[in-house]
Amino acid sequence: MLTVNVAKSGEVTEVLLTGELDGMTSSQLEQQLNSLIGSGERRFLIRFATLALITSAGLRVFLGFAKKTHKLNGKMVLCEMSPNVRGVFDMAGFSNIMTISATAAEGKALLEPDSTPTTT
Amino acid sequence: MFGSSGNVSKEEAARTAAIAGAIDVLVTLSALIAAHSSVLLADFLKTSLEFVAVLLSWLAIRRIVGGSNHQFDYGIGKLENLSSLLVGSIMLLGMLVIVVNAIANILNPSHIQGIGVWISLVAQIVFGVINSTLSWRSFRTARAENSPLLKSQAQLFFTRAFGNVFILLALGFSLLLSGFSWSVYIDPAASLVIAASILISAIGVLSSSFYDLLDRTLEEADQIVILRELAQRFHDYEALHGIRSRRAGGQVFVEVFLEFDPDKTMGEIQTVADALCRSIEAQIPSSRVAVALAKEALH
Repeated sequence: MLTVNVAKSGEVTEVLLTGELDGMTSSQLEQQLNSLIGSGERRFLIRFATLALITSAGLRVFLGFAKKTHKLNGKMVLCEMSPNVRGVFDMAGFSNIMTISATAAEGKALLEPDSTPTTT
Repeated sequence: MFGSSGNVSKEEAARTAAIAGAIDVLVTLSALIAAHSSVLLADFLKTSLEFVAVLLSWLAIRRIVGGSNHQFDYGIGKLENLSSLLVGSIMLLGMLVIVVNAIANILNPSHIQGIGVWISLVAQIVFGVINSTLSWRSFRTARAENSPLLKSQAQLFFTRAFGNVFILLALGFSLLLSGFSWSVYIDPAASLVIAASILISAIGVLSSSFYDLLDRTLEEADQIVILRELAQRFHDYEALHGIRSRRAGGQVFVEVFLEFDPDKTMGEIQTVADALCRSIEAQIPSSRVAVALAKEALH
């Protein structure tokens, strides 16, 4: 079960994930993220605070989404990861290609128009 | 692929197993006829069912080895899975027969007797050694070739060797302790222990073969390997449109659907694809990786 809450804060689109992101729920998130991109959103803050689990299917969504935002000169910052979720991202080597911040506030600051995230 | 030394060695192993199984069936049948022992009846039924399983595996492999080339471009993985499924099912059937027989003999107990008991004691020692040897050989070949069929055969022979030791002990203790009234329960009790070991082996064989037949994707650890390689080459492609993976016998097939910059030459794309395939194949044993060009996401 996955709940995706989307909120707009200035130019930043906040996406709060709650529940489990696995093979059963990954397509739901993928569709919602694609829909946001399709509607013109370009700056994304993905909040993992209430995400209990992520599998390779979930990681795949973020890899694909990172490519899309990169292609469209957008920005994506991932934040509020639990140690377990962060460990999965590190294991897959995603920490090297995606911007990950500890808190939502830090993430928002990185998404400001004049800031330059290290990747994506 | 077909008619290769690997398949020939598989056929030899399966043929040896079938011949040994046939001899085992004849010996257990003669012991059963010449004795009044419930555990020997169970032994005969179990041995017969196992022989059928091994015989079917051998016939399946013979058909493949004797067949013409290019009929099975993806290998004989599925057939191996099917054979393993059949072997597992027959093991389950044998287990049920032993359980029913043991319950019947607990309800109506009697002491074991007859020359067949002594025939069986000798046979258990001889076949215990043979089954242990065959199990070890099949296990080594299965590990070298990553073959589920030979793995299931190794498990089968191990189970049989375990059964030989157990029946030997059950018969021995039944004879040595025949002065005690409770010794009549040794036979059926030992049969139930053998049934439990068969059940565990059968579940292992059935579960792995069943999921592979359904084209289950790779385990999480292998999926992470693929994603890590894609992350390392993040700037070499334009979009990731999907990943498909499946197992067929000992083989693993992975397809990665990527979109590339239209300005890249075919040579540049080939270089990226080759490097990606080689890297994944080096980390996932027995894998074949293909990169497909795609413009849209998979559904």
